[in-house]
Amino acid sequence: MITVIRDSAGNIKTYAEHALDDYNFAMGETRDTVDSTLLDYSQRFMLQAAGVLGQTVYVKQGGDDVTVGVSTSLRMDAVDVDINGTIERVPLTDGLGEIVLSTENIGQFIITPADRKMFCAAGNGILVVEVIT
Amino acid sequence: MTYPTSSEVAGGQPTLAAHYNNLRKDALYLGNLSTESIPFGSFLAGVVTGMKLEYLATNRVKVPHVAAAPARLMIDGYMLQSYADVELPAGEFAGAAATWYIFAVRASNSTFTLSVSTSSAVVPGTRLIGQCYWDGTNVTAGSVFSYFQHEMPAADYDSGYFAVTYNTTYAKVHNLKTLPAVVVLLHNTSATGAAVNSVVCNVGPTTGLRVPYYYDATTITCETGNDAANGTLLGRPANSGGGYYRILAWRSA
Repeated sequence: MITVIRDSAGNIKTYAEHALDDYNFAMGETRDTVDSTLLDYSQRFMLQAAGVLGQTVYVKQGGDDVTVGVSTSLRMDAVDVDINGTIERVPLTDGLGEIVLSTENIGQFIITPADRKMFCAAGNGILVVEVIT
Repeated sequence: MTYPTSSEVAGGQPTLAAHYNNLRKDALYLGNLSTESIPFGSFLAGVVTGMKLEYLATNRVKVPHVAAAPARLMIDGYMLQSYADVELPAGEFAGAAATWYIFAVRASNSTFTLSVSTSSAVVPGTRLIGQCYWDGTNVTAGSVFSYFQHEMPAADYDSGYFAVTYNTTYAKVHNLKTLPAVVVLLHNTSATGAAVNSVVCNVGPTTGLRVPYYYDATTITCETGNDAANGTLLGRPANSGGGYYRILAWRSA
């Protein structure tokens, strides 16, 4: 059983594989339960680059473009992804899609799911790619 | 219960069955009924004190002797203790890599020796006290341990893994009702904790490092940093703005 905590806007804030009786709710936060395992639930939306999940990926400016893998365990033809505030639709084949990021300019790409009521932008649902000198 | 239940017998006084039975009850059950207590000897058979195991170069193990707190245990009802370091003879390990089990072996006097086997089966005259790992060539020093050595207990509070992101507050109620003596915050990139665990000491931004957690007698609060690249972990071997946290806490005495 997965417990999902939503913020006052209904966005998924966090989740864990127990009742979260120990969770101290902030104003407006609510709790859902989902019949799933932590591993399965974490795979509802995942982002990875170069095989790396859940940690910041650093790439050199001017290097090869970075391919970010987007995956979902839900049956969807496409998923909307938020890249630095811009929404991009990523087509999915068998739950897998890709985004290609340029390394031309120094800076951060912060990638999260656009629909935070459906997907969690925590855990493996957030990926930062930082282009450095 | 009045203890002892037996009483002194005066010279010339005939002893009654009750005298004997009370004396027996005192000796075996500390004055209790046999339905209320296990026999004293059985109780002591489960008590082992001062029993440590250490690696001894080369490819040996020993029970170190401390005069003020010698290793004491019972084997087959015999009360034994160490009088000096008890050392396993050389050349006892051989063969392929395996876990080896360490036994105390009752000696002919009131002490014990050591033996090892790849089988944990206990035979008469021995008691299983620990284990170590033989890699096929050497005993791995760090693998030597006694089953009776005090170790750090399991955490009094374990949050389990929960998903986190940067610039967010997560407050968890540990409910120890006392200030935890030790709190460890772990970060993992896997929801199941299958990847490397990093101890979270600092989070970004790098221009304003901070420890992300604080606690009182009921709650541990984690405030992740406002930096997408380092907000949940700034350290080795990685930085992160997401991933999973797990909080472990131990109560103070």
